[in-house]
Amino acid sequence: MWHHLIFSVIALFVIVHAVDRNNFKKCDQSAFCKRTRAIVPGQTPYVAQLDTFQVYGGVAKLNVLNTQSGVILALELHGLETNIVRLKVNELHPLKQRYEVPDVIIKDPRKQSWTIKNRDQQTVKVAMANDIDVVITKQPFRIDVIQLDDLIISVNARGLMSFEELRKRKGGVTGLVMGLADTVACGLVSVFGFLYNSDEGRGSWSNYCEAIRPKIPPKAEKEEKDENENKPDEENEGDENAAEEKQEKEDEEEPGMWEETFKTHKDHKPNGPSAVGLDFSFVNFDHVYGIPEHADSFALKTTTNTDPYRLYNLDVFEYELNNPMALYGAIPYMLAHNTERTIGLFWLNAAETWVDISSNTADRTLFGKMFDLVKGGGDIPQVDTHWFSESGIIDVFILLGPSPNQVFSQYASLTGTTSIPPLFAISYHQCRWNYNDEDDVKSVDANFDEYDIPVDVIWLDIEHTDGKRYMTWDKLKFPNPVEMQDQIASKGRKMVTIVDPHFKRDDNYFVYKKGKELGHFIKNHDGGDYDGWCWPGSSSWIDYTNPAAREWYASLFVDQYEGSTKNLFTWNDMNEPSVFNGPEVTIHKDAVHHNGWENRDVHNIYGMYMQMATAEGHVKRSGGTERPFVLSRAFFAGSQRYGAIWTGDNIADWDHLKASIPMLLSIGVAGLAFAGADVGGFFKNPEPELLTRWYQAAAYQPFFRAHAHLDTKRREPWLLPTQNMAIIRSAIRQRYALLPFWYTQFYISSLNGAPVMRPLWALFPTDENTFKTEDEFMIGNALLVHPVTSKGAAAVNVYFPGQDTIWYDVETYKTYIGLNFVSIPVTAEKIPVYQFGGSIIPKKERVRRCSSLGKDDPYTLVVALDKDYSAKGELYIDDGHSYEYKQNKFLYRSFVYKDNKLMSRKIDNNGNYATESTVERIIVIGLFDSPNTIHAIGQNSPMKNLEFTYNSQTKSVVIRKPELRLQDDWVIVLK
Amino acid sequence: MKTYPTSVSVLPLCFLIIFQCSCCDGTRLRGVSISKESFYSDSSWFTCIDGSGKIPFSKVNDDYCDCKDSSDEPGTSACPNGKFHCTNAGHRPKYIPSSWVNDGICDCCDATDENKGSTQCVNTCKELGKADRENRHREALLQNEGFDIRLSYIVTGQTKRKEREEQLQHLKVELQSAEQLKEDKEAIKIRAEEPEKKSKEEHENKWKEEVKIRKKELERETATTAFDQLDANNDSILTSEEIMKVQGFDTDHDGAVSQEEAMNILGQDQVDKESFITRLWTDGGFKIIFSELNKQNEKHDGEDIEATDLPPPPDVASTQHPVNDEDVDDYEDYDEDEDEHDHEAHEDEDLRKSQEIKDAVRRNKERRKKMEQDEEGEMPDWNEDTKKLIEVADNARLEYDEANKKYNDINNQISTLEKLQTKDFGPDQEFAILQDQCFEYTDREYTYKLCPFDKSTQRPKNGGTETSLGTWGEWDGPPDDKYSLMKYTRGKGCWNGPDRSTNVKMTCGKENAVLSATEPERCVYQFEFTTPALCKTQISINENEPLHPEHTEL
Repeated sequence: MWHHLIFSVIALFVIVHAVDRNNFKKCDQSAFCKRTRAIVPGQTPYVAQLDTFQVYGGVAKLNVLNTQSGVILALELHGLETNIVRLKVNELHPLKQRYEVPDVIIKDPRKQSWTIKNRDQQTVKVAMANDIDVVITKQPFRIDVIQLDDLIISVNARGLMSFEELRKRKGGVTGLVMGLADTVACGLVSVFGFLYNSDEGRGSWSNYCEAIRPKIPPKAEKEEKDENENKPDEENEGDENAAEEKQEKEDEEEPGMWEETFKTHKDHKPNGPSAVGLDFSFVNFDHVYGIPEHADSFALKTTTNTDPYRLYNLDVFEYELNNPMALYGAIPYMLAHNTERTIGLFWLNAAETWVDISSNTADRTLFGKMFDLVKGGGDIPQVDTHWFSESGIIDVFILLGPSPNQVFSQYASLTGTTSIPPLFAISYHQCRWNYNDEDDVKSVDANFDEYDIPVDVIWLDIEHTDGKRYMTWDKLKFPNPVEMQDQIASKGRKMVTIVDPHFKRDDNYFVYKKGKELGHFIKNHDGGDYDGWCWPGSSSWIDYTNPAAREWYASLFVDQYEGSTKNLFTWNDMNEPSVFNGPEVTIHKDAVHHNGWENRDVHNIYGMYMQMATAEGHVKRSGGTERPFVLSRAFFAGSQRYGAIWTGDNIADWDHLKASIPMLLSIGVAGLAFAGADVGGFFKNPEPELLTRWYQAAAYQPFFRAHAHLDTKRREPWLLPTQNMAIIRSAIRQRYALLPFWYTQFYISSLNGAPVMRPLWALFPTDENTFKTEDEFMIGNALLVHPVTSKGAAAVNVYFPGQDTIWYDVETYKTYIGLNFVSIPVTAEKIPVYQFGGSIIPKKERVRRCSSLGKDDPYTLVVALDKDYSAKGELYIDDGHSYEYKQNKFLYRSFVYKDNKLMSRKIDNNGNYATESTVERIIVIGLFDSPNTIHAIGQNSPMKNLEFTYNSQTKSVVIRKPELRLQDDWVIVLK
Repeated sequence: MKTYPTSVSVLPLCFLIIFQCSCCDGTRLRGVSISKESFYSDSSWFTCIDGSGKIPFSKVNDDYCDCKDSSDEPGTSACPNGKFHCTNAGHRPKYIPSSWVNDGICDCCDATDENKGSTQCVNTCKELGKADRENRHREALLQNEGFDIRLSYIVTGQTKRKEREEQLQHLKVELQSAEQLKEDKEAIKIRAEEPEKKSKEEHENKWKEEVKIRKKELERETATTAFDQLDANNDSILTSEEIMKVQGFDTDHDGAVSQEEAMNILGQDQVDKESFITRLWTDGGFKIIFSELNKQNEKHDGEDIEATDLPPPPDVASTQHPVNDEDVDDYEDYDEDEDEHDHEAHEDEDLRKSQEIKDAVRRNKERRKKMEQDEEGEMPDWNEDTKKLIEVADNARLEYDEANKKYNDINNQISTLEKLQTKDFGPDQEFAILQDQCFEYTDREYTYKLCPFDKSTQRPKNGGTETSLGTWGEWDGPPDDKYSLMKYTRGKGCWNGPDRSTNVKMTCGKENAVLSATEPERCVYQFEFTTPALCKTQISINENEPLHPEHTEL
């Protein structure tokens, strides 16, 4: 009961601060958003100084002048080999270094040389491979990307570019700010270089710092020396003139430039205004996607009459659907798609970011003919976007596709692919806030066996700890955690415990004590360790942006986390970070991170760094041999490399079930393949029908975990009416049967970056009916899934995409022809899933208690023929948990059915894995006549005739026990 | 639902199998139980048990699922919903799901479920069987002990119920006579109260009349006293000149009582004694003035009053006095009279006069006090006739009250008993014994208390108040096992949550005891409770033997 008391207090807090939408900023409550959004189109003060244009191999450089302020910007254009144009804009002579996001781009992308095609007074035209030209126009400054005379994307076409230069503050307010911040600022003097203006200029500032230097703890100085990566420059000497010039031209202060207050929270802004913004027009496009995370439609809406889409990692209590509010994660990456091409735009900035979207087609009703007039008829559709961030630089990647898969792999070439998860991680997870004690865990585990429902992982939420001190155990409820994990692991299962980024400020708590000693916590704007309120009460936050802090934290998993075993994995929650008493329930923007960067600069990447460090901890723990598994709530571009994410605290209602599809699709196309939504909904109690339908949907989504709030009723499958339990069991078993297929899809995604759960247009890019589809999706290129997401549904309206395609109901083998909407009657048991004619799916149809127990089980291949009676598919096999696949201990094979032959061949000749598994069954669907004989010719086995049965109703043949080895090449011939 | 039998209820079947098998040749098909053996007896063809297909016998247990009902693969994991039978010689045989076969985990103690791959299982049936039999033996003994206790519970419960029934019958008869008696006594009471009331009223009216007359006399006396005081020359005529001498009548605060003011007060130039007493005393407001003087004196009682302060002007008074309705009324009246006295500036004569008035008032007050006392408490005793009537009525009332109380008592007893009779103490009244008992269980933080058929509570171990976790609701087990679960509902409301409730899982045990108390979901508590009342079956210990493994070997 005592924890209820605590919870009550917290719940009160949560209710007070979070249900209310007003606790989160609207654009006009965010000074830079308001300022930037107010820029009037068509009046850009920027002029390209074409005489400065120079090409150095793959980099073209150019200065751009702000004719109002006199500030000069340095612009770089990189032509990347992967068909990407990178555009970087920074101040030519910034007062101090501006934040450039590190650790996202996986390696310096290889550049391709620019060729200058044309150069005159008004324009410069440069070319890269694939007939791509980039045209820079002097005045008004704009950049256009053209491929074979088709204008694809225009930059600053609306003249919304803005780049607030770092400046000195006028007037006497500065002194006050200095008093508060001088210790930190001077302690990091080499970092900040020059922080606050004074009328005497920066010389006096340096003197001032020298004067107070003895106050600085020796450690800070030492650290200073160690810091070398991504450190803001020291003061730029010889830059006085430019700075003075700026000073003269500087506009008068607007409110919110040097400090800002939201509710009771004051944001000190020692650096003053530093926002950057730019507009991009996607020419000939109607549909844009991505920029997760928002609880909104998959095809993004125009924001003409709403706030812009906001990207700012926040813990939003009981989030609302269908609005552009920020949520837990942020990937500033957008895709545009039309029947001819798919392109991407990646805005690499970790600060608070807003994206405005308008469309001449979607907004036509609003602007009517006026818009057409301006655009000259408006026959060509166009999506205009305006991106702006609070700090940092403009660093944009334009991914030119042109196919969806090319865009996926281009994005992966920048930020990496989803790492191959261990097999258990893509199996079924059972979670709840909370399984109360060891007996509770054992009983949940036992009930899965009792009801013969497979499960791989049992999770423990915050209550398992000793007073919310992560990496400890409540000694009364969990006196023998190792024994408990061993018992769970004896059946091949795993466990997960939660580790949040906030650590209780308790000197007797080993993590806090050591973290404080090492100085690894985020600091306040005035220098002390940041102190905020979260689950344990007063807490501090590890500064995961600091490589040393990450390394130290990771090392805790090796030998400091008592009661953990190799079968224990980790869940990082609240890592936006959530701060109960902070502005917008997060940390103050003026909190100071490693190297003196403000949270303002690094906010959106913080959570990713934590997941990165946790994954590193898992790897370290196994001596580098085992794959990690970490679930995170916050995410950023690149998070796919470190584990799974989920859509946070959703609600047990039908609309949230529906919303899981567009949300996961948006996250998927933004590179994060391993994502899921809490099955059943986190808040509130789902009725049995909803919970059952949710299981059915999530069994076909990448990350499959049931979770529930502390206040909800127990809802483990066996607690539902028998009929519902049986349906849920069947859904989970379907997931397990398809694990070889899922695992293969994750492997393929790790190669090419394509999402595993993907929009229909990824496979049928020219089928316009699919552009807004968000009630069905594909898994890989083989399965079409249309989950039932409404109460009491008697039928669903399934769209079968693609010209001349055939789709087979996976249960009945009933066929459907492409480009058709079909009303499919559904029963409670029915999950509308269809196999694409032309695909081959590997399955393991034997039910097991968990995934690892089916390691040696035989496979079934389901061959679904297309109109040409052919099909193909892949299978990837490895040990399912280690890094041995990197030593080529894997099999990656293709199955091709053509001309009445099914052939198994290696795709990757390097791979070799000795599996015990054979093929026990091959099903070929779509055969109009029964074969007379079927025989197999194997690499290491004599030709043998195979038994089969033909079903003339379903037009399918089942080949019995070919018993072919997976590692062998073989051919099966149907005559 | 359980998919394979494990519970005690299948024991007889198990023993049957063992008995039959002891004579067989031991070549039974892998994974098949003896009861199903006949399905697999044909050596050339196998018909799926549900009749859905027919396959060559060579395809049975060939690690490929041919039958829809999974019956062709009893010994492999090939079929999705099959059952594998472990003989478990030396221990109890059991079914496991086919999915547990050859998955690398040893589930059967005879190790037969793992015959492929690298997993080496060891036959542990002998040890497990021995331990299990000993365990079951112990349990059977306990169960039987519980069974015996249960029989005694039944006897107790049924006896109690019967006693209650008899008591009820008895009480119902009693109730009838008690009701009759109550009605009779009520009639007598009514009859006795009528003359009593009449006689009392007569007596009281007479007294009221007397009081009225005395009051009038007193009033006249008071008026006379007042007149005598004002009538300075004792000529029985009160003139305006005499009024003018009393400073208190200075209504316009000019320091003197003018002719006009005096005229206004008297209504004429002069007034004789009789007119003053009968008319001016009440109508002219003198009575009020003097009653005000009374009040002043009361206030100063016990103090050494230097002078008679007439009340201050109303505007001052209203801010100084605690305001109650009576006061306000008085002042309003006073205000109308425009009466004013400012004594301090007066000459000696005035002083003397005032002292006289003061004395008179004091005397008057004493009289009045006495009279009031007479009025309130000093009514003469009832006369003898009335006294007699009262005595009779008192007796009648007493007797009625007694009869009524008895009637109500019986009625309450009946409804309590009836409530108990409708309470579900089990089909054989075996749970009745738990009524009026409480059982406690203490964990690391709390002491939980279960009072069956009454309530469930929790209180912190180290002091603090008791929290209700629910009051008796109903039996809530599944239809075939209703008495396996007690439900207590509508406990103390949870903050931002539901009312607390408790589910009590009941099992057979030798003693009545709470074995555990948990809170699997917020504010829903779960107790485990053992009671002999649920030991419904008696196990023949002989049948439960043998404890020697050779009897079970096949």
